Amino acid sequence: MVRDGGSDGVGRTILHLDIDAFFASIEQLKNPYLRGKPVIVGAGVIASCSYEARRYGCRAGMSLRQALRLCPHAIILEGNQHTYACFTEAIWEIARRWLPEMETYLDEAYGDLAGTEKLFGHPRRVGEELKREILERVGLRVTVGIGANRMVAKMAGKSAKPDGLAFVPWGEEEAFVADRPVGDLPGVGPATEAMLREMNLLKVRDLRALSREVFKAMLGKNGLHLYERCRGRDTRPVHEREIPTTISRETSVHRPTGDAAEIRAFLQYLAERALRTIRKLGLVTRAVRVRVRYEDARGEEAGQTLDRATDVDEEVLPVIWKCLDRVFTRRVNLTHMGVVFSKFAVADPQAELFETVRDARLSRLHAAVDAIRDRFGHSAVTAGASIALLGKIHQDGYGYVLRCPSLTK
Amino acid sequence: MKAITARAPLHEAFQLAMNVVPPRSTIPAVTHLKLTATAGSGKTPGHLELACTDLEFGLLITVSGAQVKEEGTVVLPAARMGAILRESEGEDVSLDSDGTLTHVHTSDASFKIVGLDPADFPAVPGFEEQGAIPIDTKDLSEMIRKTQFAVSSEVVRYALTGQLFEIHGKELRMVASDGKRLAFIKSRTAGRGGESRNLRVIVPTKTMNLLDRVLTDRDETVWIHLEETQVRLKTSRAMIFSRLIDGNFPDYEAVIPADRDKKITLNREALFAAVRKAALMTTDKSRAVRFTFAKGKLTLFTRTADVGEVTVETPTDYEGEEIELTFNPEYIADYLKVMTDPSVELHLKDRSSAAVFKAGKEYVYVLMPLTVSV
Repeated sequence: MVRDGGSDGVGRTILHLDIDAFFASIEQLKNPYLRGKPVIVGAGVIASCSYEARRYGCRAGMSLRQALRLCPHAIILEGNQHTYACFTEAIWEIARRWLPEMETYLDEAYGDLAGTEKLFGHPRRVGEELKREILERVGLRVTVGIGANRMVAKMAGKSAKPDGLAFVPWGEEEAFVADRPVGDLPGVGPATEAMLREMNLLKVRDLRALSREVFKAMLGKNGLHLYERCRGRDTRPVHEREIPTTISRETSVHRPTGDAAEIRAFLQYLAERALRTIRKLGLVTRAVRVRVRYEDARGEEAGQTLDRATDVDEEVLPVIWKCLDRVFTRRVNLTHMGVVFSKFAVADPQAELFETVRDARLSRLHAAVDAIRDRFGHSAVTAGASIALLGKIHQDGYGYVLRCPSLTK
Repeated sequence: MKAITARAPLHEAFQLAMNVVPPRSTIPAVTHLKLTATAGSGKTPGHLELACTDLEFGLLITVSGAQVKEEGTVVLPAARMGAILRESEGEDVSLDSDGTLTHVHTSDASFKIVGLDPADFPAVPGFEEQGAIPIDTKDLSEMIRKTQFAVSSEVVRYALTGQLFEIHGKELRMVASDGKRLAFIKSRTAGRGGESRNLRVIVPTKTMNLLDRVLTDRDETVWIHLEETQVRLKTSRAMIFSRLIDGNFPDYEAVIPADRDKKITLNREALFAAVRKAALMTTDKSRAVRFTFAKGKLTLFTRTADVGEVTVETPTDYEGEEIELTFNPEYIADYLKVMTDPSVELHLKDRSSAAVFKAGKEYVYVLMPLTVSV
């Protein structure tokens, strides 16, 4: 029986979509030679690995050196973030037609199916159709989990990976989570998992023996969430707009450089990319940090709070140059650099009375430049210091092809 | 010091002083209050004078009609003494001090309070009659109240955290803005004695608020004395001194537009009721309400995910082409709370330009719309 999706939050149906072995699958899709072989994408550490590689024990986050010990014949690729972005966009576009409200992340998305039963039928059918359409049109396999809340949907998906479809009927959330390992619960990382294991708490059902007070004493505020979660209840409100804590763009450089113009060029390019994302999310930022790593592996970092929240390049760049002066003080080449934005707020839709003419024009300018870049790629417009990268670094439709594009979102 | 005085006026003076006295401070004198008793002569009765300051602004207030047997000065903890007066019963209260210990006798209790040495109390400036400008108080309270709500609370926009107080010839103007809206009001009765002057200062809003509170029906004139960084305001019973806000108030005249071609007259009560209803379906995160002005009616609409939606209609005299704007309903409610005329004129241009609310020629409220649509 399909329950009505009420707006009171009771009858929700959340669908979780996860792209299997995301980067590695795309590489295998692009290059048929790689299919069926252990493929690892990453620089330094594994960003993603194919299921063939996982059989040898490789996991995301593992160092490449260790991965090669486990699986010496693995094929290691540096990957290209921009190519992957193309694929996710194509997948999200298909999913949006089925899921009226969607929250997307790097390789997963949540959608709310409430109120679509009359239109699409049973949620399980939506999952099946979605999987079929994505495979047909994009060529990638996805895992779909469906449940009454985000947590159950994601855990259901996890239980069915890869290329799976799992549906937890309404009212069976508690029973479903009971037999899952504790590490599957959101909020239980490796450290918490190890601690719980020491107490012989292995399955989610074991956690139910603990009282709210014990949870709180053990894990603080996070413990209270776990108390709810081990009973199949998600404490996170669905579709609350998620504001990231940081948005960063970082890269290693092709060859170490001490050239001030080139360093500035990289930083401006990275800042532009980050700010474009910030504007796309409708946010404003109040703090920026610059990170560099010298050739001798020493890292430096400097940050500053902005005078006022902004999403405009021109207000941020002078601060970035100041931070750069503070971190780039040695006559040693840099191998890595990045910008990190934080302290976000939702951009206030309230128009300003005393907005200077310049402010209004800058906002319009960036809206226009963003529109051009969305359509023709980032490199369609090159600004300021980043011009020094022209001709030095290969470009594709999405912008400069960086050696190690950061995958942080 | 030995004095007997009526309890109620002394209590009121303490309550006014509590607007100045901070609840806690590292400087003990700041949380205290200086009380000076002056004996009367002939037919004039004696009086008590209260002084308090937080070092940035302060108040001197006189409580007249006291029987002063022995003149003197005591410095008492403000909050505690205020509480004693509040809790006490009976008409009169008598104060009797020898050094730092003060005896307070009320009808049924007698307190002994430890105070401070008057020498430790910060110097309180007197009022310089010379160079002071008289201002008619007729509209002053109203002007303060009708602009105060628009003052910014953001410290980053320092110049906007006060009210602009301006004398243009014989006209008194008061302006407040938080960058999103602006309230402007003027009165033609500022300068007395026919002298024409010019003056432009930004006064912290708590100073203006205090001035509004100390004004009584008996006051006809407030004297204002300006120094480079300070202002002193004198009424019949009190003197307020305050630092001025050192900043550039933006050019407000430039943002009061004159080119609005759509004019709508609205009933204040009806508009206020509609705005309050629409606001019920907004949340802290989403405050947008769509205002659609069509022939003969105004429709308010808002929809918030997980809350719901509402449509409110109210009649207007509008005959022009349909226009749609989005506003934060709180900003309109704030204005309608203090705007007491039966009707209000709304002047509009397009969906992205400021709306101008007018009640008479003297009171103008400019409000920027939201850049989102509902």
